[in-house]
Amino acid sequence: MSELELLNRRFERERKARKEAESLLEQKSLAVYEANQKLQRMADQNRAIVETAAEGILSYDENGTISAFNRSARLIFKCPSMVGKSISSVFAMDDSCRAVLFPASNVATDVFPPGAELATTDDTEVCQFTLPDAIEVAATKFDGKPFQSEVAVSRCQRGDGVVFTAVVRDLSKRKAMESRLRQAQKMESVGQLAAGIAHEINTPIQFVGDNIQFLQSAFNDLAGLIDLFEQLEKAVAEETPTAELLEKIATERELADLPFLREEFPGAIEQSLSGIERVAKIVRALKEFSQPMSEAKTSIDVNRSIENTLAVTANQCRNVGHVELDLSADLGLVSCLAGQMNQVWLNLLTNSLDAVTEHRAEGERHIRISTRLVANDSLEDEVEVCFEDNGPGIPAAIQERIFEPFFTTKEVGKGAGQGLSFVHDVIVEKHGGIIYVQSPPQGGTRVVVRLPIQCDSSIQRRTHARSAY
Amino acid sequence: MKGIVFTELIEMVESDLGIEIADRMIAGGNTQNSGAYTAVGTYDHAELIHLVVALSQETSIPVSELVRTFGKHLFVRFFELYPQFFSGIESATQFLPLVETYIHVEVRKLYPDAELPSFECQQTGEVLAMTYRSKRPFADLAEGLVLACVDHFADAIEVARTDIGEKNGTEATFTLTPKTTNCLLAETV
Repeated sequence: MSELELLNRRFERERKARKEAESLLEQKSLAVYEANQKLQRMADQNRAIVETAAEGILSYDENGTISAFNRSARLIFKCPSMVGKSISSVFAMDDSCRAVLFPASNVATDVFPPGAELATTDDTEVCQFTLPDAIEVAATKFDGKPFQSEVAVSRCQRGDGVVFTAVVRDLSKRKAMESRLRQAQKMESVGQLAAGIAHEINTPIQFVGDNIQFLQSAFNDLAGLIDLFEQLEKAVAEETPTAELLEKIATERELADLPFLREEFPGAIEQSLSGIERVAKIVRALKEFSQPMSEAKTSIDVNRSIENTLAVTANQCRNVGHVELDLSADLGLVSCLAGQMNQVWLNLLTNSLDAVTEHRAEGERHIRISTRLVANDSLEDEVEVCFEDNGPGIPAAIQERIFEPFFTTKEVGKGAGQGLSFVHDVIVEKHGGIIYVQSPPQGGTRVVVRLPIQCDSSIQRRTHARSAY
Repeated sequence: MKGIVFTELIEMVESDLGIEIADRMIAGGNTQNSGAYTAVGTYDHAELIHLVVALSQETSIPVSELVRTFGKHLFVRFFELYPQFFSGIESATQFLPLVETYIHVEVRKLYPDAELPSFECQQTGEVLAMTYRSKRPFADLAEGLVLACVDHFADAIEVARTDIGEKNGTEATFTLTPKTTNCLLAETV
């Protein structure tokens, strides 16, 4: 075969290959165009999702320069688009906020507690933090007004750097609602307490009033006798006849019934003083109980705090018959938020009172409150307060939920579901204590609170525990 | 199989053996498209076998040796065409594990339908065992690639091939052992 023929055959192969390559190129171009269209649609869809999301969504790089700022973010921060601006213009960038907004690729930080998860995809490293607890961060509106926000941040490693995406919620309304709810609950408690206390004061005031009326009436009788005695004294001094006076005195004394008065006066006075002391005691307890919700911890006598709680709830406690107290004398003082601790005892006692009142007949109701000094695992002293009742108990199925806010087993309109949530918050979060509940299948509930003598939640914060028999 | 393998084979034959042998190989291979391949196309791997068998008949060189030689040629061409895959790599034992984890990943991005062989690497001390598995019987091609890779990096490494599985060229393990280690062993023995 000649070289020209070979070259012709080769040229023909090359021509066919070129045509096939052109055809492939056209197919590829079409495929690329369609892929582009699809990507464009997806991008539009994603942009629409981000833009219309109910939560604020911000993307920013390692320097904090914002690359995306959706509509909800603009509404939350009350500002125009912040794309190209610094993240520090919308968040108060202190150390804790910086740690939340710029999570490192190694997620084991104090800010992201156990439970934060790292997810990876084939070609992108994505740190997706699934947070057991929402992280609250101080933020600033465009007009400079600060507000609390809730932030969840994900970290995405791209070829050209790191991209952070923050989902932001404005907590202002929720905080205001919680505050109103707490206030409403407080007012409801105050109303109940006021009714009980009014009843408690009413009884002694009534008999003190009756006694004073009796003493007043008796004194009117005695006043005539005293006048006659004065006249008799004058007659004797002037040596004038006294027979008539003596006869009058005898008559008045008969009318006044002096032996009766001599017998009744001490009792009436003693009873009145006792009544006044009862009122004074209630007023004293109320004064101590209702001290302002100070944020400063003070040293309190837990036993006295419990006794005050019983005093202000005496009216409700009377339904039980007798609340048994077993208070250890060697507790000493505990450093805590006194007002909030009183509310804790009140909530626990109210729960026990409700449980036994609704589910036990009179004479069978029993509540026992005890205190003692115990050592914890670190052999440090703690005060243990135990509330026990013989109510229906807490079913095992709901024991995990009893400390959740708004969870209640009481019928609609009766329980706000805030009592145990409040107790948990005060004992565990604010005082570094623990609280656990035991409830055997046959009924009855035992709530145990343990408080460190030096309550400092920043030193040790322990979660509550729940256990069934 | 990607067209680049076919175009590179024809170019190698044209370059080394001349245009006439290349034409005879194509005619003898009796392929569907009469040897009109484009690098970006995809073709049946059986056509490559037909071409190599035809070339073997024309040159009286065994098929396995031809394929191995072609493998070496392919490696050199890959280095010329895709230098980015070799950037910062200093030895064959460093490069070969990247075939599966990096190069094939990149190839799949461009050609999602590419049916690539698998290269499983296991490093034991200084010895690298690389196992080739494919639906196609191209262990010889893989061997040529591995040998060219060792030559490229001028590594003092010996490559031993062990056919595994059905021993039909679809599965083989290449063991890369540093030559110095062998000398030491020999001296010890």
